[in-house]
Formats: sequence, structure tokens, C-alpha cells
Amino acid sequence: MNYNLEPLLLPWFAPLPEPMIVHLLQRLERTRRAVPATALQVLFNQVRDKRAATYFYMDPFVQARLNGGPAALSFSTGWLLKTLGAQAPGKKEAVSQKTLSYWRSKGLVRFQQHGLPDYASAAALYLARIIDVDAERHFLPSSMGVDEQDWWCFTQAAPDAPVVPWQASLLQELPSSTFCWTPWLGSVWEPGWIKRQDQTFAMRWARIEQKQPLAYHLWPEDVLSWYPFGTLSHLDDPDILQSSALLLLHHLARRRKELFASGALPEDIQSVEVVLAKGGKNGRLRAR
Amino acid sequence: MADYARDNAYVLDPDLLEEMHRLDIQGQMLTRSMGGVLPERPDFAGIKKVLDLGCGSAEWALQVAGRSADIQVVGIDKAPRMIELAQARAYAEKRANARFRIGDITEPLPFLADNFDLVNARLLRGFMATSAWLPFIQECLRVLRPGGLLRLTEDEILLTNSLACDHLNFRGYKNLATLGKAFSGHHPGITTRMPGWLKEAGFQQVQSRVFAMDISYGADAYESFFFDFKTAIELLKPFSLQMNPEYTVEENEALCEQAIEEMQDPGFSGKLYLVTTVGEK
Repeated sequence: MNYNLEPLLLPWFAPLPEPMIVHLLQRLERTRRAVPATALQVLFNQVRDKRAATYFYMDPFVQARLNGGPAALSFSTGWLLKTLGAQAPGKKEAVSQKTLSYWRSKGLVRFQQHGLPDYASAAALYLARIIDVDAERHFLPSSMGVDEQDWWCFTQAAPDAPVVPWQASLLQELPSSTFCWTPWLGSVWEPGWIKRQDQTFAMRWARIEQKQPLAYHLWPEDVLSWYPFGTLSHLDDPDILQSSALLLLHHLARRRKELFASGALPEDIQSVEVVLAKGGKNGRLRAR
Repeated sequence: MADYARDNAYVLDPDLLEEMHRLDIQGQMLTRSMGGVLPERPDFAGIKKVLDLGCGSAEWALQVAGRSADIQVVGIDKAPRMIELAQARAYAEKRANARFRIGDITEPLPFLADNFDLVNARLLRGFMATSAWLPFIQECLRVLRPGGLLRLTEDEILLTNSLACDHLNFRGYKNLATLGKAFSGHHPGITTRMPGWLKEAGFQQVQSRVFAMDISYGADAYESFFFDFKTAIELLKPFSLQMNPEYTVEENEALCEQAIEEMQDPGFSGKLYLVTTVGEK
């Protein structure tokens, strides 16, 4: 069955891009004979647990890479090949460079530079590998287009605006006052994202002005539009503006904490209506 | 078919990502719920050199290293990926005073005698044969300096109001007893013997502290324990089926699902009983 996923579902499966989500759902259907709604719930649970494990394992190696650590302890192409191999059925020594080159040619993995895979792309590859543990080879879709390779996060442009899923690499296109959040903690490996201490999720403002030290592209009125506690003064001072922006991120995140901490699909997605087109094609999972 | 009966073989693959993550969550839960890294001596007086045996991904060792740059910590574990992860974490957390190496702690320890102020080990019963405990404790005595402390923490029994959870648990104790890693099918029986082993090895001032960790729905340790339990029974399925051929795959699945369901009920209550035994050389 071909799935056309309701866009609001996509951020729950971060850092998986849409074609990987669809492929894993189809694999679940075939291998476990699960109906689409069951497959969705099973995959949601698997992603939730294994995403946490993926971040737990990758983070020290990525941090070492970001901080110029020793090569043996740093995230790299070689590290990824070895790590993927360690999770493969039968525990092969390492995935071959040839296989990685093939995946790259098919858009299944992106690179930041030679020898350095994109962090989120590598995490998605690894996550798919540990979710589809029985598959020797077919744990990935056949290919992904350039515009399909990104993972998705939640965004909200204003307190009374609807929640809109958005591709993580395109956040700079959103209005500066847009609040963004994701259950994918590895987002913090990219500039702009910060995570909650309780590790439930990460958040940011959509646009950043400066990566180091981090400064969001915000205006005083952007901060005031989200601030629920009355007035804030001296927002024309850049330091106070940026500090307030960070404080506000934590306040907004706190309000969404329950949603993530419950560990279950949110209510609006729990009851999934499966709309199937004639002939079994174009199956559509839609949140009620 | 896996050879679980080998001496000192771990019944799970410790290099599997999910198992590494589970053990880390479990370690955090124990440290937090039992009053910190060293509640028996919270000021770490006289402790400068620490050995963590079966250190896993270094959750405990790195917390100790984080207390003071003056404390040197060495961690040892049999699982290569665990050690690689521990080394990367030490680098990421800037703990130059923590070092990690691959090693089998059921073999003679690769350290000189009279070397450490504190030797720590937690939850070894998953792989340690009952016959290996006394030689292991004697090795700990050897590497400790005079006056140094051995600190062993083991769980003894989990009691809950979930029939399925208890059933899985007692089946686990029985399986470990069959493999020679527990003394009975009713409870492992390790903690009751630890003080005697320490005294027999030559430790003095041996003391035990019993800890009842509340893992009831909504308790502080609940989320971590539930994750630990849920992940463990999933990873243990092949082991359970091999050890208990009287169960079909479907029956085993149903039992696991029932346990998960009952543990997610707001009325779920339970306690995990652990014992820390400390002795001085």
C-alpha cells in the first residue's frame, strides 16, 4: 500500500524523512501483517524508544567531532559504517564504503563535507537500521528525492496560530517569531536548537542571526507577542532581548512538556482514520 | 542456538544499542533512587582512586569523576562498544580523570595490588556464576589499598501487584538458577550471601543497607523502571523461549503484553529490593 501521510504526523517521527517513515510502515505491514493504523502505532512506539537510544549513543561522538576530539572517538563516515555494521543482522564487521556511496547516489544519506555525513541524515539511517532489525538489506527505501531528505519539526507562528509541520532545513524561511519544537534531541547538533534538561524535546526560534554565540533573529515585538506574563522592559537591549528569547523558549516548552512526557501518541492522532482510495493505492493516514 | 550456560556469559548482548541504553537508564535510576553515587561516604573522604567494575557506558564512573578532578576513576567492562562509548562520553564531558578499558572482571584484574581506595560494582548477577563471586571478591580485596572500600550493589527481588510482571520475574530467577547464576528460582540469593563472602575474603566492618525502591505508577523511579523492564523483556524474548520451551511464542508474547499493560495501569504498585554491601580492607 502507498501511504500519503498526514503532514502533522511527520514531526513525531523525526529525524526520519517522510520516505523512510512510509517505507518502514510498509515493511511493518508486510512483515507483521499489521493494518495501517496498527503499523502507525507500532512504528510510533519504536521511533520514540529507539530515537532516544540513537541520540544517547551518537551524542558523545558528535560532540567529540564538534569539539575537535580524537578521530577514534569522533563521528565520521568510518564511525557510521562501523556502527551500522554492528547493528546489522549477523553483526557484520562494517557496512562497506561502496554501499554508503550507493546510498548517497540514491539520496538516502547526505554529507556535510567529505568524510562527514550530515548528522540528522546519519541518525535517520541508523534509526531505520535499528527499527527494521530483521532486514538484511531492505530497511531503506529505494531512493529519496532532494526535496524529500529533510526531517520535520512542529512550528507555530504565533500563540493563536495553528501548529504547522515544517522541514528542519527551511526554518529560516519562516517569520522570525515562529516557535519550533521537536522530539529529536539530536537537533541540538545544529545551531539554534536547545534541549530541555529533562530530555523530552528541543526547541528554538525559527531564524538565527548568529551561530556563535547563538543569537536569534527576533524583534522586541516578537518576544512580547509570546510573553504571557505582562510586560518586559529594555528589550531594545540586545542582551536582554536574547536572554528573554531563551527564557521564553523554556516557558513555551514547559507548556508542551506534558504532550511529550506522556509517551503516547497525542489524542488528535491516537484515533487514526485510514482513508483508502480504490484499488488499495494511495492509502492515506489522516489524523482526525 | 545461543549458549547461555557458559560460565559468566551475559544473557543479553551488551553491545546492542538498546541494551546499552537500557543499562544507562537503569544506572541513572539506581544512582538517583539510592541516594547518589556513594551515599555511604558522601564526602568521598580519603577516596582518590576509584575502580568501577562492569562500568557499562560509564554512568556511575563519570558522575564520580565529575565530583573532583583530583579523583582518578578507572572503568572496566567486557563489551567493546560500551567502552568506546564510555571513552567518548568522558571526552565529551571533559573528564580527563576518567579512563576506561576492555576487560573481563571474572578473570584476575589487570591492576597492581593495593592500588584503589574504592572498588564499586553494581548488578553483576546477570552474568556472574554463583561460583565466581568469592574469587571475584578476593580479587577486589587484592587491588584495594589497606583501608580501601569494596561496594557491591545487587537487586534481590521485585514484588508487584501485576501477576504477569511477577510471573516473568520469577521465571527469570528460575532461568538464572538453571544457568548457575542464582541460588534459587524464588530469588537470586546473592545479597544474602554477600556479607559472608566479604568476611570470608578478609574484609572488615562489613555492613549492608537494604533499599526498597518504589516503582509504583507515578513514583519517581516509575518511568525509568518501566522503560528498563519493557526493554529487557523485549530483548530477553529469545533467551526466555530457549530456556522455557513449554511456552509457545504466542504465549510468551501474550504474557509480555499483559505485563506491559498491567504496569501502565495507574493502580500498578511495586517495590524493587536492593542491597548495598560495603566492606573495608
